[in-house]
Amino acid sequence: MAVEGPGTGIASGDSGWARPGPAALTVRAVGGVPTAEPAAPSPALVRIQGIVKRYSSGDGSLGAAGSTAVYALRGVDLQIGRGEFVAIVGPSGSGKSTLMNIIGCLDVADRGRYVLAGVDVSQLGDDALARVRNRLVGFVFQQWNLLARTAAVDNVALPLAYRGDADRRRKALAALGAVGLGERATHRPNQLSGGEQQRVAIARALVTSPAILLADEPTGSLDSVTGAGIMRLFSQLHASGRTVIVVTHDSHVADLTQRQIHLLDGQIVLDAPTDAIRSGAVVASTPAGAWQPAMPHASGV
Amino acid sequence: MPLIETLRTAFGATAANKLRAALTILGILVGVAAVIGMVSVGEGASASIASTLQGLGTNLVLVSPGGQTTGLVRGAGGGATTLTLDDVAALRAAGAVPDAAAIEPELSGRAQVIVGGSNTNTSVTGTTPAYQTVRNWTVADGAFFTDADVSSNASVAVIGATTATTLFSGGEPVGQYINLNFSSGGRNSPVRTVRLQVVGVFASKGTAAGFFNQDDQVVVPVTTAAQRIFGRSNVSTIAISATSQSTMSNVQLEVTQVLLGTHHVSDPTQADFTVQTQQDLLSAATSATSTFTILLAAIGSISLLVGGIGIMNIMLVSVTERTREIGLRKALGARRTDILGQFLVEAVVLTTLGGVAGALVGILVSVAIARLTTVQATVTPASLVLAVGVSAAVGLVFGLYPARRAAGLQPIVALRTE
Repeated sequence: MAVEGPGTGIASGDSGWARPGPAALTVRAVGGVPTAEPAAPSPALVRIQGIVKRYSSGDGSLGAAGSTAVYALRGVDLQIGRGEFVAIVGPSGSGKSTLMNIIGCLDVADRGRYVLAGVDVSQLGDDALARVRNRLVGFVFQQWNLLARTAAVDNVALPLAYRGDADRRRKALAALGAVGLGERATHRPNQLSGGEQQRVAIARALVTSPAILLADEPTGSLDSVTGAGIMRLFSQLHASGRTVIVVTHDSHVADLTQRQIHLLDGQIVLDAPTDAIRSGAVVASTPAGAWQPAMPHASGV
Repeated sequence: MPLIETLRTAFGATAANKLRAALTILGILVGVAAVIGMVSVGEGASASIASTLQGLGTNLVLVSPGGQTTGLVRGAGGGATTLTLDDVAALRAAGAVPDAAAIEPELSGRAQVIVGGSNTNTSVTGTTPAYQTVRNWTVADGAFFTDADVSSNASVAVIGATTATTLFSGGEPVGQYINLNFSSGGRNSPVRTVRLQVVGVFASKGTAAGFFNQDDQVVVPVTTAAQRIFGRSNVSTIAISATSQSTMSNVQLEVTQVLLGTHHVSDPTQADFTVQTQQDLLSAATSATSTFTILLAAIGSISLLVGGIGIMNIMLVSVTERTREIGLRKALGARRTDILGQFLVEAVVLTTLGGVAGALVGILVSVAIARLTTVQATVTPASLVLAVGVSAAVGLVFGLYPARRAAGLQPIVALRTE
């Protein structure tokens, strides 16, 4: 089963934001020196090289005067190793959602290369991407996105249904048990609290034993106490060896992870261990304002 | 995605919007019920025509004057006078038509029949005792006239059950006298009156036909009809009963040969008579009624088409409403075909439910038609299977476009939708 070990139950007692306890793969900056590249096991699980993503607005036709292309990502290089607990941080418009979509194989970059768990997904078609998402990525959304009128266990089993796994109910029950909802397997989403629904969503993300767990603002729709519980669950999952990537604009949430990647205007301005950032040892650089894509683009000539 | 899971999802989605699903199903239901009801009326008409034609006689071969017929419509041949009693004699000659069991001439016309204060206009047929065998008639009261009556131009008649009721209103007809008034219809043509004694009354065949009442007739010896009533010797029909169903076509050939000889015609296409078997009549009638049935089915199909458009409409609404769900499913690994299948199955589930319900309502409608009107309505199993099959196909056809739209959604766009 995907989630095992005694540490994955719901911790209770303390409330509010709390830092996760020391975990096996905690990367610490030694002597205040920032480690830009954490000591991740190789090969990296997520390898991103020179990713560019552009959204066209206006009439959208290339080369026409007056059309504007908005660059959501302006050449991002990124490596995330197996077992890391990473936050992708940035204000809205920074490109973090675009980066998350690309990491999650929901979208493909215009340029650049992306290798996920050894699979080059840069050039894959729709169905192949669907397969990669099903096998390698576990999504947790801000609005949890559970199917209404569908029991928790069936929601959790859904990704397995798309691969025709006959044993999906048992696996789904085990995943629900791992997030502490074993007793509520037959409840429907409208019978569960927000925190419980998000736990169901996490169980759904875990049930396929994905290479990465990708959470988009997982605490964004929860109160701080419940949100802290969810972050504690992520910490426990990380402690049990899972690779967890959390996308957030909330520095409190980011501070509960071990490595932070800060985005601004489509570029990475800071990539450092959380400890180093909290101690003030590293600060974000300013984005390279003069950045221009290396491809031919609308020049108005 | 396993089909059973897809079906469960489809039923779940249907149950989630009960009123909407019910109204959509209603559209299909009305269409299917209309098709089944309409077709049942058409099939009923066919069946009643067929049974009437079967009731005309046993292994019947009919010779009519005039040339070829097209369908049931015989050109101007109705007035042709090319068949005579001599032709009947030639056919009856030993060995002329070896496969015939019985041969009888029919010299028909209409006449006014009067008994005391009652009178009726009815069909008068001059024939021979073989009429009973060939035309499947039994005499319920009294007896049929004999060959001796035929030779002696006897003033006797056998009347139909309806005629008996009309003329004698429940009294005993056998032994009573009736007056036949006949006029050839020409200007200044004299009215001939013949007084006949009723010797028998036919058992009723029922009036299933709907076109004409077989039980309203007066049957007299052919000689009486030719010489004393109608004053002509050309016969309207020569009816022949074949020895068995399989020899009917032989009889048809033999009769044609004999009559071509007596009429001195060498080219069969120039024959001045027509020989038809009961099957010919049946198939002609069937082709006429099946056209009628197709017309009714087409009318019913229009409402099915409208129901199909309703399905497409509601599926498009469903796709729009569930864009986020589609995005989620795609994020979790659903491929194009999974989403396509999900929405197609949902459309087919709706239309098939409508088809089954419509079939039941269609049966009720046709039963009601049969009960409340004189029109026969027959629901055939084939029309039920067809209606349910067609409604499933309607789901496939009209569900395809919405399903393709759903399948083509990009996951990030779909997930972003509120």
